[in-house]
Amino acid sequence: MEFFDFYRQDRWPHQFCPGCGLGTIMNCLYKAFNDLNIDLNKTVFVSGIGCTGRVPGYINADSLHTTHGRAIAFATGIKLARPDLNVIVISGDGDLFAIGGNHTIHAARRNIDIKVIAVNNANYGLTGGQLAPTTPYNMITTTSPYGHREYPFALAELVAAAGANYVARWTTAHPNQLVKSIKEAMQTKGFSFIEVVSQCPVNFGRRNKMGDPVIHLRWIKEHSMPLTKMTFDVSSPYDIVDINTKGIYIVGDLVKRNRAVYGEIEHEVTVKGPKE
Amino acid sequence: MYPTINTDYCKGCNLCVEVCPKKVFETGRNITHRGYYAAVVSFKEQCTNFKIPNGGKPLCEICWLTCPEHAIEFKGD
Repeated sequence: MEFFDFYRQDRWPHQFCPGCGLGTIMNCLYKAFNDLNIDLNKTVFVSGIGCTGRVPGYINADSLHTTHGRAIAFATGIKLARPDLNVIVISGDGDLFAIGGNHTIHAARRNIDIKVIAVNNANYGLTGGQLAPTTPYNMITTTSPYGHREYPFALAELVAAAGANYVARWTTAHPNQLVKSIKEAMQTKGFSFIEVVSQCPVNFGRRNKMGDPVIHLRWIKEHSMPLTKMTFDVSSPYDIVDINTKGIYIVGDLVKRNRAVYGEIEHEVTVKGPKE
Repeated sequence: MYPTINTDYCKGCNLCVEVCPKKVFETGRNITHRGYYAAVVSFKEQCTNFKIPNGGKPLCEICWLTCPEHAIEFKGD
């Protein structure tokens, strides 16, 4: 499969800002699909609203551009109606965790066999850089001109606690690892979740002295810490959230497990009447 | 083979200059027909894939993976 068999060449060059991390993620997605030889006719891409919601429009496969925050709800419907299809959700942090947070954690709790790639650029990039639930402490955005005074969500840890089968976090500074992680997610049964920390130089970086995409990528690389080289003591889950509030992203495969997948659980049906 | 930059796609973000471990790329000084300062391939002999024949599997493709615009392609002479 050539690159422009996977993407629509007539739509190229894409509309993302110069230096946006979404292009890197699109390259990694192509490489993982090419290495695994996945049939695009058996694949559905679902996206919500946002910059990341535009990505399935460039892919040469069937895709849904759904209402704001409800990408996982639509994906659940597709998976239940057609269990033979690969269902992949690509959406942003504002879509999956701000407005659609409950859909995401409940899909992880049910462990439905869908793959989710959440692109975390730490703000609402499409609408002009407002603060999001993932904005790190003390960062400047359009709606927090004196610095953000709240603590961010730890997306991957949240989904891991909700019960997903595969959870990983990578950044756009680790493209080779991201390819490996997407391959792992495609081969895992159950809810697979990859958080990709991405740069947003135009709306987030520009207000935090990182307007150059190179400087923003360096910032992401400095603020990411591999799970295998952790210097913090993470004996309790509270410590992980503490690290996250400092704006440091723990990268790596956080969770791999084999919980029963929704729709494949064998129940012992015992129906009893009120009086026997 | 060595990387080449397609000036139809390049938006001049210079991420390839940052990520290349062998420093093959340089920041461009001339404006392209689309109005961006596209990066240029200055030291193609330093590329890890320079001795691989055209069409082979590249050893390192970090610039290809990182380029958000898919402007980098590996070509031979």
